[in-house]
Amino acid sequence: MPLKMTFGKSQKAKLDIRSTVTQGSLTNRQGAGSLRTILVLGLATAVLAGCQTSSSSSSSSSMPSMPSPSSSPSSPSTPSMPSSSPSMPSTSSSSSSGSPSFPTASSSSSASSSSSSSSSSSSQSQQGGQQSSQQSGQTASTSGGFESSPRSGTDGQDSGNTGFENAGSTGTDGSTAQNGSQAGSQSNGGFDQAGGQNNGGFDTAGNNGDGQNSGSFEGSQTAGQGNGDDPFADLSDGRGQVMTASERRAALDARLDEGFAEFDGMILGERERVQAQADDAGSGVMSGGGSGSGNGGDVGQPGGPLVIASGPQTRGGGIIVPPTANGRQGDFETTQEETFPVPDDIPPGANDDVVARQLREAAMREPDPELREKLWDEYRAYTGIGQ
Amino acid sequence: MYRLYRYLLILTLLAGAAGCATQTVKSTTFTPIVEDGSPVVEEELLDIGIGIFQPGLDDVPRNREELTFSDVRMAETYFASYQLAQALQNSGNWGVVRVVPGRLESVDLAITGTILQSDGETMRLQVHVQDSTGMTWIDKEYEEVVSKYSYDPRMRRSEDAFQGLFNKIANDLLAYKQRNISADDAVNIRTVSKIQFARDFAPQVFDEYLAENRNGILEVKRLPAQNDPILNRIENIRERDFLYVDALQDYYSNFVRQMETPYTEFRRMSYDEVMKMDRLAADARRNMIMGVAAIIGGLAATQSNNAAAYYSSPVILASGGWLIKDAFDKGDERALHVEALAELGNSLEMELAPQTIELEERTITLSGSVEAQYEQWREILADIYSNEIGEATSSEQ
Repeated sequence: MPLKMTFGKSQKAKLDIRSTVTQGSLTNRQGAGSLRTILVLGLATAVLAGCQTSSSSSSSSSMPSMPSPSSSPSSPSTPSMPSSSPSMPSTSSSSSSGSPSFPTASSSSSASSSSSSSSSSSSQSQQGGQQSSQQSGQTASTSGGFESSPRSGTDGQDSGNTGFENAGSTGTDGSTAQNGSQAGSQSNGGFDQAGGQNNGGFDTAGNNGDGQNSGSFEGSQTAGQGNGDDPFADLSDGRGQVMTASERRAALDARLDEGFAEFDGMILGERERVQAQADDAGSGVMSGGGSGSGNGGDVGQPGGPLVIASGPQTRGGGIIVPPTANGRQGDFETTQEETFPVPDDIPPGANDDVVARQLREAAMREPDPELREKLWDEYRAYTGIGQ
Repeated sequence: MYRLYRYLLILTLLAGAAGCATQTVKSTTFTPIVEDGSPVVEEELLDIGIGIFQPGLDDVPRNREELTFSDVRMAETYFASYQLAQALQNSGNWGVVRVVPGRLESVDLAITGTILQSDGETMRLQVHVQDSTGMTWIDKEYEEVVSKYSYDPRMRRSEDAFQGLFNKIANDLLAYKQRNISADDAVNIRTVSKIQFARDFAPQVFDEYLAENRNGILEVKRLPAQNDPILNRIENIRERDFLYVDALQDYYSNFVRQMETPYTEFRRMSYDEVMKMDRLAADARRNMIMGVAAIIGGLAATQSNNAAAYYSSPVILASGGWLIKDAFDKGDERALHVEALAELGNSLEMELAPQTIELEERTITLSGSVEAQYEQWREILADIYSNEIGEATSSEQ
């Protein structure tokens, strides 16, 4: 309040100035205080704004990695993601203060339902037990997980980090993470269930697939003498994908049937060949007792004729047996061969012994006339005709 | 005088003893095959597998070495095995009777044997019969001595000269079965042989189905399910195995048919030769003994005071010398027969050796191909089993 002072103008000016200064100083004092306050508030706001800015940037970077099942986790806040489940969704961790729309009971329930559906799909995929089923299971679990994880990630951001970390770290055993908020815990529990089941399911599927594959490969390796190669690796050639168990069994059965057909052909071919040989050799020919030794066959005496039915033998002017196609000649030739007429002086051979009968048959079948005449001469000499 | 009588008595006794040693009685009795009168149910019929007999060349008696020809003996192993199979098959008392080389574990009854002696006159076989459980039925030696009438064309039947021997074995087998094997035993034997076959192809599946008791006898612990897919596959394999064995029978049948004529003739001639050899050997032995005795007696007579003994000593000495000379002559004659027999044997060897080699080559080739195929099937079965086990594990989880 300006002082009314009766001073002079100078004094009045001085007073005015003084009052102005006072007022300015007073104003200054008041401005300085407000300025201080403003500065403090500004700093606080800046700090808070900086925090908000960092949290919003991390959530936006994790979003594009959702469709990729094999993407590695990009969030630095999830260092404990299991390596055995590379396709596990790299869900985001969210700060509880960043987003006002954190999971509610409904959203958490939806997340848990989606996670349970993903877990059921992963459990269904477990039954395939092969790598393809692994992949499908992985895909299902991944997609289910990815489907659920954003919700849980976005809806459960208040304790998502912790919950996801817990899920990631305890995914294999499916233990539930402990969180402060019920929603977060529910979402985390749901996610844990999803994660746990996914992990467990995936691990199971993976283990099953690996076990089955190793078992089957073991079997084939064992069958393949442990050389590490699958002798039936060509069963899936051209298919472009790994076979299921039933398909493999069907392929093995088909190979077994092929082996049967090949075996049958081999055996039947052998039997036909043997039968043809038997027919050529004259299986109906009875050549028993085809020896020409007869009465004079005392081999103990030098010069005695020795004839074995197997081939031509001659000794000391004895019997000459002409060779046949197989080198043997029997008594009872039943094959249809050309016979030549018997000379007139030769009687019927009803009383012939073995040697005489052989001589007669040989002579009758001999195409060479000179040799045939010699044989008849031998027959006459042996039987005493004309003596 | 008494000394003379004593010398003559000694000589007479010696001559009589030598003569008695050569007395041989041959029987022409033929052993017919015995058929089981009661019909046998299909499930109780036992199949028989006969392994190729062993040649027994290591067990040939010393006095028969010159009568034994290795190639002929090798051919005889196939011949004897096949003839025994024919005898058993024709009896109608058994199921399928086949000559099976190698594996006999999965056959109901397995017969193995060794040819101990085989010439035209005598055949001796050591026969061992065992069922699939490991129980021994028969383990004894069989011998047959034939007479010359077995080779007489007028009296000879269409059968082998030693058919009686094979019939005797078949009859003993039937007798054992009738005495000791019940219907349940027969079914058990068939089951064991079936599981044995399955175990050979899928040991990981069927190893636990059989167990050996403390007596070494296999017992069935578990029975496979009728609809066991692995067992059904193995049944198909077993049918192929039967086909393979039947193909081998064709080989053996052809071989026996080809060798039968020369082999039969060889046996007939070798019978004659063996008879003459034995007779000459006996005569030589007798003459040698008498000759030595006569010389001893003659020498003793020269020292005698008896005039009759003294003056008869040169005669006795001359007789002794002549007997000894005759013994040597008979020995030489026997050697001629040995040479003739050797020539016969060599001739037969030359004919049979190529056929035997061809048979062995074919058998080995076919068996090798079959075994290779079997090995593939074993791998496939193992893989199928692993596949099924893996499926079962995953479904349980």
